[in-house]
Amino acid sequence: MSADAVVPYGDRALEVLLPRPDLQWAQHLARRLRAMREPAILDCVAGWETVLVHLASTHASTHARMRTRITELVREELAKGGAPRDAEISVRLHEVLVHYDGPDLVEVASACGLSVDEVIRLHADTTYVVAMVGFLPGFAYLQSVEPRLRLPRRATPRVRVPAGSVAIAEDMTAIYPMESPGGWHLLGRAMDVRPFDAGRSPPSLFLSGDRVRFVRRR
Amino acid sequence: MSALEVLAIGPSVTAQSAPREGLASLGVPASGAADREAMRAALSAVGGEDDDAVIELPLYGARFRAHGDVMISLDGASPVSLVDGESWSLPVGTRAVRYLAIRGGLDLPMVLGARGTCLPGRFGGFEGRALRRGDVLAIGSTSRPLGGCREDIPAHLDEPLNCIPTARGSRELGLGLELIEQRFTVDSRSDRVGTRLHADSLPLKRLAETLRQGSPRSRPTLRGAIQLPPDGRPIVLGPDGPTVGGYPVVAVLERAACDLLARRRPGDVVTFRLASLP
Repeated sequence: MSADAVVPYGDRALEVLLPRPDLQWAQHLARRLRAMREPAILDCVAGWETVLVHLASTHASTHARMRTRITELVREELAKGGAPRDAEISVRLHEVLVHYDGPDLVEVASACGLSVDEVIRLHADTTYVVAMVGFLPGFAYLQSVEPRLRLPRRATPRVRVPAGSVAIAEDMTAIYPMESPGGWHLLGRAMDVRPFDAGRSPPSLFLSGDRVRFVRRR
Repeated sequence: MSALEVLAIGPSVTAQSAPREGLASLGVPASGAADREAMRAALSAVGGEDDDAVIELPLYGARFRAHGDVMISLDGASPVSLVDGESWSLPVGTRAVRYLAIRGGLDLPMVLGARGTCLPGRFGGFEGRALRRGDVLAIGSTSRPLGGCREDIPAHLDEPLNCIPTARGSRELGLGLELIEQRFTVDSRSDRVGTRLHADSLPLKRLAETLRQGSPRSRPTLRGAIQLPPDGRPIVLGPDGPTVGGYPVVAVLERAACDLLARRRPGDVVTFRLASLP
């Protein structure tokens, strides 16, 4: 197994490059890096093929020291045999009530060659994994959307997507935590859920690795 | 308690402060002042604390009125005292963004580790939004001594911006030359999310296409990242930029260069210089 490379990302971050896309491995590495409680590390963000480590200092010596420490940690974790399976870590499951009345529902159904009811059933029948939280505070990229529902992003993004909108694009689905521009297809509105609340701890409801199910509100 | 009333301002005027660190994995951008050096200079001049909030004024004019006695500094210049009812107008300057610090600090709560506004998240600062005409900003009090003043913060408009290529950027043949030899101008659609750079560059467009084929998945990113969208026109992520980006990042600005970029107005020239790896 080839070792993951740790390379500079500007003068205040390091990027761990995984030899191949592996979200679970990236999330595991990010958890282990956070657990080091190293004061020089401000933050760790796991992606599909990288982990971005924010550093507290732009000094070359901090970079060199952290590069060595992170490389060592990655090597140790590789030696342990990679990321633990789901059964070995606690997994939170969120159930989100959705009112499926989105403005793109009919268009999505026709683009996928399905009925509106089938679109809703396929979307709600899946347990999704929080791959990453990003783009907006509390915006969780949920995977994986049923293959029959996969569409590219809208050709022209909307200037304003309302908070709470439940949307799909490619193999992902998400809830818009706040009003923002957005290019995903809107299927409905999430009820009784606040994906982001600056006054809550942690402020994001969904965290990497959590599971999410959508429940159709009738 | 004294206060400052907004009489007239342009769009996107926000309360800003030191950035919010450590929340990128929850999708929270660092936010904070676009030009940290100028913000710190302004805070120093009025005897402010490191985590005090200031008013960030991009591009356009602004006019405020004092309620009670108010002492202010623009970008670290000698403080000016305003008496109750007196108004103050922002003088014209060359830098794209200016900072108004108030003695005693803006009376804003600490939210998730900072007082500044997180516009994309609609929290922090003044009601989580840009300031509007008629807003009245309460001012705190302090007994700290006034700090040093700076009469002029140079814009350094001709200075190339130091950047460090990412693994992705340096792997692609010729990136150094293509990004570095290009003269860009700041596009008027730039904002705190990102500075859009304009240039008609076929090589960059080709590079963008090559990079796109390599990896379609979004990656964690941060302020200063130079993204290359398919049209070959780079976007440099700003303080409110997303924590995850789908476009390939070819290089990342050094921290100090982010301040320099924030000072440039639409139409100003931007060039890059490759810095050595830390």
